[in-house]
Amino acid sequence: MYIIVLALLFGIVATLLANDTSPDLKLLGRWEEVLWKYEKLDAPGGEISESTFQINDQVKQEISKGLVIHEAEIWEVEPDGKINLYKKNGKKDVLQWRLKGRGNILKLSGKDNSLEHYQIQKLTADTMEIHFNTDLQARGIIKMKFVKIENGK
Amino acid sequence: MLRKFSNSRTLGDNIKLGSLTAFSAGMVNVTSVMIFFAFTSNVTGHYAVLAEEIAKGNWYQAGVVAAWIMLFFFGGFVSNFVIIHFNKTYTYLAHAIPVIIEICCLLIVGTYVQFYYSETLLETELLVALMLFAMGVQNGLTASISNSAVKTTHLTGLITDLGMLFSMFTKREYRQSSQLRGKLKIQLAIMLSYLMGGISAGYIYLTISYNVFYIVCLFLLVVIGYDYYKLKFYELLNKREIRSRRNLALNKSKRVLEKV
Repeated sequence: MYIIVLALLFGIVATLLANDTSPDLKLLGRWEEVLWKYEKLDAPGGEISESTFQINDQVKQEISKGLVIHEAEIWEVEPDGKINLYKKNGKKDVLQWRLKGRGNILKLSGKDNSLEHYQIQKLTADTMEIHFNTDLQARGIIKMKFVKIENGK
Repeated sequence: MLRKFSNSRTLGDNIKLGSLTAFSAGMVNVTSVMIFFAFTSNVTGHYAVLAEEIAKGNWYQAGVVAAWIMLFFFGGFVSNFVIIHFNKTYTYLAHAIPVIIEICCLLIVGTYVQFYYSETLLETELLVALMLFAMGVQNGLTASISNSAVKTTHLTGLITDLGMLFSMFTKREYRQSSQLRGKLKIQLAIMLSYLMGGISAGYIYLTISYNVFYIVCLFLLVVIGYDYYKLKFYELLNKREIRSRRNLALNKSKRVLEKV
């Protein structure tokens, strides 16, 4: 009886693991940023409408100014733990990436000994949604959406 | 702390066991959150995450979280299995083995993190799994030998119990109950120890990094060592008592013989 239950439990876990790809493999490839908006917003005293959640380019620059992902439009995630962040002006930043937790935390490090953590809210074969907290401009959670433009090697 | 089983345990035994193990659980949990971004001393949150991942269709993550929950379960299983099978013949050893297993798991995690950890997701998942197993073992041990009076790796049930206890203390008859007051002392000791463990782990991690695991192992060694010392101490006392009784009996019989 015990052996059957054990085998069943292991079987369920093994089936779950075998029927999906690990997040660190899904993450590999070139990702293009397609959306930046507030997912949640703390607006004391003010009315919140759909447009309040939109982030224009100026606000985006302001919010991301101190972050390692500043101005990065294309993220190229490599299997050796390197991530290339391509900017609008053609410049490239090379950082290190690691996944933590159950693959839901993206750790970026490397530039000027900086260390930043981002929450991976959704990760499929072709889309990725990353959240992070901010208290610049307004206190809230920023949602970044990416689409995969090239699969990993 | 570990020598006595179930109902033969005193309030002092339970407070000592609860405080020390809760302190180590608090340290383990905070350290794992800081290094791995995952809780390792409780599974309630993991159940919520498991449900969320299943709902989202993230089968890999659901599998990982299900495995973590299973390992906490196996920890409790192994702990109680050892206790109920060896308790009658080797009481101290039956209670010490789960602590030794826990120390081994934490030593493996600490050493691996210090020397080999390259922060891959697979490593993180396996190390979290090992820590959850260790915490399951600890929780199984403390709950088993204290007749479920002490559970030290999570505080959900404890906070509920505290709320209930304080509501009972609004009545004089319950306030005067020594049993309930004893329970309050245990619960408060566990809660404060867990918190102190967490705070000190956070502080220690910022100063001496991964060595936190070795400090937790030291605490657990104190639990085993203290009991071993007590056991030997009582053995010595018993031997002396037996010897003095024997001497008394011999003297008595000598005197009787002399009179005859």
